[in-house]
Amino acid sequence: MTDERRRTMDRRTALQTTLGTAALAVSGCLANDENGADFRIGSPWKPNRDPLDGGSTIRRLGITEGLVGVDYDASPAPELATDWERRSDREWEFTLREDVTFHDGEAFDATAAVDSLTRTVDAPAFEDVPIDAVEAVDETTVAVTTETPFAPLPAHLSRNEAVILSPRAVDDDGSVTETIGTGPFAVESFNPNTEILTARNDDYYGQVPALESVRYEVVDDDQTRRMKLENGELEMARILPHETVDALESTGGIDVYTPPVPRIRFLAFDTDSEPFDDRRVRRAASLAIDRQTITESLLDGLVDPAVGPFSPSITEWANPDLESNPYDPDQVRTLLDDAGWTGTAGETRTRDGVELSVEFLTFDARSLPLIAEVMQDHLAAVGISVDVRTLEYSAMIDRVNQRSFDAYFTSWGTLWYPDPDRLAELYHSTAASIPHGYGNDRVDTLLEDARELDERAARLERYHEVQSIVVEDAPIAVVTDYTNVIATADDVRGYEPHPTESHYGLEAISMDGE
Amino acid sequence: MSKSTPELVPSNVGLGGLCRRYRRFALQTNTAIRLGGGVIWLLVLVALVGPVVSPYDPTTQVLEMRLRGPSLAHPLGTDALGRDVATRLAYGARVSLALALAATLVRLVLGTAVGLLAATGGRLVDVLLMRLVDVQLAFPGLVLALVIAGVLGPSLRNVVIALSIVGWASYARVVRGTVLSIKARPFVQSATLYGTPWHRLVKRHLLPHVVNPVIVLATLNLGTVVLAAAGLSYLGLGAQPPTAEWGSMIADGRNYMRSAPWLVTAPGVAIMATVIGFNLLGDGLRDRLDPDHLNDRQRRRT
Repeated sequence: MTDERRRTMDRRTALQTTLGTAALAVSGCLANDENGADFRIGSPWKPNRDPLDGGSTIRRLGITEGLVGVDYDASPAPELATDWERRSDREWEFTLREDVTFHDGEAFDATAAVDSLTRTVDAPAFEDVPIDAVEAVDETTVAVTTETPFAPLPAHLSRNEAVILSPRAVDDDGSVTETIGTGPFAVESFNPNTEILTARNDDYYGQVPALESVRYEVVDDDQTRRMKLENGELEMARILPHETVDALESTGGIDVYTPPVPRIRFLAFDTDSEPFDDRRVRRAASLAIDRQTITESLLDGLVDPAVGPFSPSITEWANPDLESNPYDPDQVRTLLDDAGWTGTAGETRTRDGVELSVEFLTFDARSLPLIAEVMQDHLAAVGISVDVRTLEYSAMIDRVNQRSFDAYFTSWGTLWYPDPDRLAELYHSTAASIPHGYGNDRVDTLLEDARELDERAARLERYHEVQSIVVEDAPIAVVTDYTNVIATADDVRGYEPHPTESHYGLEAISMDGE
Repeated sequence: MSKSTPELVPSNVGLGGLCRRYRRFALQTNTAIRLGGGVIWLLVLVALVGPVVSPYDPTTQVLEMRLRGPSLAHPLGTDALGRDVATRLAYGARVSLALALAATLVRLVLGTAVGLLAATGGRLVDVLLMRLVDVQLAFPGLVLALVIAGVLGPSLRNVVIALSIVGWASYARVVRGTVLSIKARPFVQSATLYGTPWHRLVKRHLLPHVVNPVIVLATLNLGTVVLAAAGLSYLGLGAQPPTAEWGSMIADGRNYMRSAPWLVTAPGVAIMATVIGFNLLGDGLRDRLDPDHLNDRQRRRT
């Protein structure tokens, strides 16, 4: 009797479950709405309305523009300013483009530019840029005065924080309510951290885009991005893992781009504490890394080994005389012996009974932990024992800023603004944002001189010398360059990856068959 | 078996008595014990013998052999640094099993001590300790373990500490309950009246009776601990490279899910087998060691 009742119950439950599931499935199919944009981009980076807070996405999508842009040679180029002139050591004048309107119909003029720039200059992002005053001279001229002679000014004005917003975009309290720029695309709808829908700006002063609308979507997971592209839910998937390149290239209907970007993976040493306070030990650690093996195997040959901060393939600021893979185990052994760290082959070296063992911090991002493990292997081969500790990014930065590390392995954009003055943030004794504690008077002098000079050849000479010195001193050991993997549907025409990723070049893109 | 009611027999429950009793149980196994025990023995065997017979080293990188699929030379393929996955799995079994045993042992000792104290220590001690247990049980265990491991910094030792701190409360509760019911029995009361000192009372009369439920609980717990430890390692809080550990192996392999599925499958299946093994063993042991316990079918019939 009990059994009988249980069986009927089961049947009813089964029926209910089936019906319920079917209803859910049907509604799931119906809810799969078309998101109607011509061109859909999937990327891991979360967009924000305010250019001062992660403004790269809105710039790349062509919503905002600055006075200065970046051309395909990674140099400052005219954007909203047609021209600029260094009138004296500290005085600059920017001539603005006429007949430009913001997306809200407001006219772009010197007053609007000064208002927007003043907000940027007062922000923490521009704290280290010695701008004294930004003033409107007339309708189409903006004058900028710097506190010290400062050659990289145009490069700084090309930064994503220095884009010009419409006066109506900014509230009285200084917060951005709407992203209203001057670019070829205007914001249609904006969900911070998830998606942006943009529409073509038909009044654009330059090349009016072929695409009518673009949808930018945050897709965190690499595999999901790839699958969405393969399923035709995206036209462009950005930042894919290196190991997907072969598979994607053999997939029909997909084009793969692997542009080098000005970014390096490097090991930063704490030069104030043992054992990396000794230049010979730092140099030895750098020479013990077989960069070629790392790039050939782990990075599938898509990335070049690097020893300097700039890649010669991207910018002429790179010192072309640096050897890209200075792997030399014999010299490592000599250097370590000279520094007093001795030991038999295969064992960890010691000095006065202390083992030469260090800790490398890194964070859980793409290939960093994997490369760190290979370096661990390479250093063990010359008698340096390494513990690799993979932390969360913020946890790593905490420890780094407390200076409680031997070395940490990270990646860093070297042309965040297209000027080699960025080297000061790597190597200058007081201006460096990398807490390695390194200081070299000659390097400081060269960097300070080059920052003030106007003449390109004179600057080039100084920056090349800096790059040679720091390879020997090794406050950081650069390990590899960086390559982005971008895949698009193969009916996408006209996409050209930008060297500093300052924009996606959407205005030049068209779709076949339209 | 169920008629012999061993908890009414206070005498001869010293070590020798215990041994005799367990020998009897060994003959009276059930399917769950045999199956679960088999899986666990297999794992222990792999952990002990695997590293000895493997021709590979778990940490030596062979970069030209990276991401190779399963073959005769590498039955479970190689990982992103060209290391043999089967070898790493065997070394990982050592880490996982040792870690689970250590954490469970600490939990057991801590929990039993607290439970005994609460049950025998007087009202105030009881209330204080049991409220502590309540607080502990009310807090989601894995979250607390995550916080502790995060604060202490990533390492295997800290995972053991974190998992020990969060898991002892259930032992305390079981032990206290059992001891309270035993304490009311005449043999304990007469022993008390006879002036038996506390430590002797605990050792001779109380502890032998909590052994069974605690063993069952610990066996069931081992599976959970393996899972939690793998979870913490997956999040990067446990084993640090190049140590082979199942959780971190999955974390390393998840980027290659499509191109090299064996990287996550192998440790995943290993974790699953371990958890199922310990759970089966725990279930079987409960049926044997806890005769008062009724399984669902029996309960429905009554």
